[in-house]
Amino acid sequence: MLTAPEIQAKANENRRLIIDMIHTANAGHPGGSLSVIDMLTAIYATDVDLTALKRSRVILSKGHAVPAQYAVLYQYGVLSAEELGTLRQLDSRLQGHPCSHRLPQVDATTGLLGQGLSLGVGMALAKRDTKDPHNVYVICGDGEVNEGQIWEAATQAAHYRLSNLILVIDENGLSSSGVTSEVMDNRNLVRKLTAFGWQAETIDGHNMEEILASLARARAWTEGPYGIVMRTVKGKGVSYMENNVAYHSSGIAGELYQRAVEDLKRGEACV
Amino acid sequence: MTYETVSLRDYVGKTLNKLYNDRMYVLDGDLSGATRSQQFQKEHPDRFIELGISETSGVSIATGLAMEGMIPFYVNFAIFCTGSAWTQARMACYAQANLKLLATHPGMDNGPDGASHHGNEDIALMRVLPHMRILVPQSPLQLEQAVRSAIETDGPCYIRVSRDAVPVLPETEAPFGGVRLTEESGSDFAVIYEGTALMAAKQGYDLLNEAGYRGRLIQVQELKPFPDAALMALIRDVRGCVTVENHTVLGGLGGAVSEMLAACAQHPPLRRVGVPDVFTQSGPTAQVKARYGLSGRHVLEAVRPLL
Repeated sequence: MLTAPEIQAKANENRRLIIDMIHTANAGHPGGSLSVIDMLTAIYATDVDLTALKRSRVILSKGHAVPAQYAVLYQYGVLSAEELGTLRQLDSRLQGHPCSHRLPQVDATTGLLGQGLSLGVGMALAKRDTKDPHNVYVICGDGEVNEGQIWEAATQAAHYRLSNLILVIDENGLSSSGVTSEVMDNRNLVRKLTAFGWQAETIDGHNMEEILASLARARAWTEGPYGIVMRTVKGKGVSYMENNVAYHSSGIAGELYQRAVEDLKRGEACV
Repeated sequence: MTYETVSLRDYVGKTLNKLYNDRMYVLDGDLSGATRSQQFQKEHPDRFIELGISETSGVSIATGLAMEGMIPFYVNFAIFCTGSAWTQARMACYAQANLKLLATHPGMDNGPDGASHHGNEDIALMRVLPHMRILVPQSPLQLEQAVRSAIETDGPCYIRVSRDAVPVLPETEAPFGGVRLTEESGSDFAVIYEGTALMAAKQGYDLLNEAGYRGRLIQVQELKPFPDAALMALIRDVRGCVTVENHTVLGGLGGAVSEMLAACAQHPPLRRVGVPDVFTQSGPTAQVKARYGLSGRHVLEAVRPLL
């Protein structure tokens, strides 16, 4: 098992891959990819064996952050460096949002927000009934959970006490057009999940020790589904992107790319 | 013209029970009594998942089960399976997931509930989705064949099952799929129908024969992929043809046949019988259908001017 600093180092490498991919494609969603990457790296490092047919599943319901998932898949040898350069290009397996029939290792086809938690409920039911001991992780954005279907699925997950289902909400505080709580106020997510019958907690989504401890608690919980609401910074690691709504969806060209690379190098030095 | 009749929904649970295997699930949206999936629940309670009134999540949960190698049948009214959860079904098709939608209460089959509950757009909504198969049986035997075909064929599938009575016609076991020549008296006309519109189609066919015309009564069992060549072979020589559907005339069976004929340099003229581009209203089912374009008389009146 890797240590927290080792996993953090992997996450930082993934940040650089995300920036490179979106720079090459000149399109993508850097902000939400950078906010989720620490958690995503930790989930794969601790609970996903990509070589196994039966395995824990990771549903990136906030599918626009898929460069983060492609970066992880590159680290595990599923994708080549050359293929990372094909993001969003015709005939690429690296579609703009996850597409499981082209690239089965993404586990789920997503992109239309709000549907991933239901997919996770279905997978978790199947794993429960076939005595498959693996977990199902669903990663949503905080803007995404304005979708009503999320709360249908939250009700159903609690009704069936799906303790193999773990929901991560990437609460980076910004959605496509502005501050999440101003666009549509949906704060108090832990209280909402708890009211729906979930066990839930808030963590710092950029503190690897906290992330690993939270994931361990979630896996150990046997009473029902577990929610992790993680406070994150949109664009984390690139100074001019942090908490900047302009980088929800944006290419990264020219000098801005160079600045992003330098920022990330400085961040690695801190670890 | 009276026929012994059957409501195919009464065979939904029985058929799923008969064809059960250990990868199958049935998912319900609080309507298992109306759809008769309750019969499955009684025999396989551990493979019956009640989801409450929650169509969007229900279809996505079924998709999640499919992604883990299961064969989920999401059973609900036609408008809920296809309309309420259209983007969920669309994503399942994009994922090429092994999702099965089984719908009862198609078209105006539940007359008294009114326009909100009439599933007059479901074929159109499912036809535009790549990878989706659409099967419409007209008898208990065909329902069993359709469900078996759905189980044996990987990929998304929509099965449309009548709630209203349809005539029981003599049938011999033949493979299910494509088109089927139900009756034939000559080659003046062709009545082309989907299974839940069998009553109006059969009555129209009989009225045309009584009026001295001779033709073919043709069931399209598989609306997608559409059996162009097989249907064209059966209608090429007629003087006029009509589609009959328990559905809007836009985008469904009539739409599919129109698209097919438009690609042919020469073809017989086509009329479309079904719901015109309007919302319906409540009433006894037979009266609602007669008011909104679906009866034997509508078939007769559509075809006669062509002959």
